Amino acid sequence: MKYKSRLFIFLFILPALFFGFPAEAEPSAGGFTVSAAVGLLYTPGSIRVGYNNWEFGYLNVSTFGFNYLVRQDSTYTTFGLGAVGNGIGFYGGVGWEPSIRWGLHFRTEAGAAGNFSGSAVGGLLMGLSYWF
Amino acid sequence: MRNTGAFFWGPLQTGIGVGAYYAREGYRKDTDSAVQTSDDFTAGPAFRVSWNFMSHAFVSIDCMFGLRAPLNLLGLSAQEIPQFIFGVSF
Repeated sequence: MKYKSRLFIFLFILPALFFGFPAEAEPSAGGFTVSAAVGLLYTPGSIRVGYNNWEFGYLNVSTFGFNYLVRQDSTYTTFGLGAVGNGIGFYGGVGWEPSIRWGLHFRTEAGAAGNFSGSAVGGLLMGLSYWF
Repeated sequence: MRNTGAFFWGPLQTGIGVGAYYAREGYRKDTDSAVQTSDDFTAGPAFRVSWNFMSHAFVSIDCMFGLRAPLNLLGLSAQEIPQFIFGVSF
């Protein structure tokens, strides 16, 4: 019995400590990204720089801050925090970002933001992103 | 709504669907005049993203994009009805 338990430690637990258990990787852009999109009536709507699934910049109408993207295939959910209008608030949205080629992606997003002053805004975005 | 991931320590839940909006507004020109009302109705696609930052507390953003004239979508234009909720649920 003692030998069996030592064998178990040797065969399974020690290798696990060195190599770790394989975990399901969350889809990621895998590096730096930039994106630019237009909003209402094709006026500038968003410009962001990102790393993996984090982005920072002008997110959507009246919203400046950072957001995190949870990707699933070519769709994503995003949630972020930043300056919304004249206060601090949150940003959330859903989007579709299929790959075109050479790292270029088409991006369309429906998002909205609200702050603790009681105001909320929403907007549609359409643009391009580039994954380095 | 289904779990889609996590934002820092709290899980995110996302939902996509359709919504409808109806509002009645009243306006009185002066204190002696009758109230003039107008109705407003629109419907369209909607989404909701909720961040459960504590076990029973959440912050959610939802928005419905009303399609009065669907062709307006070509100009990325819709009547958006956004809502920001900071609440608790049990």
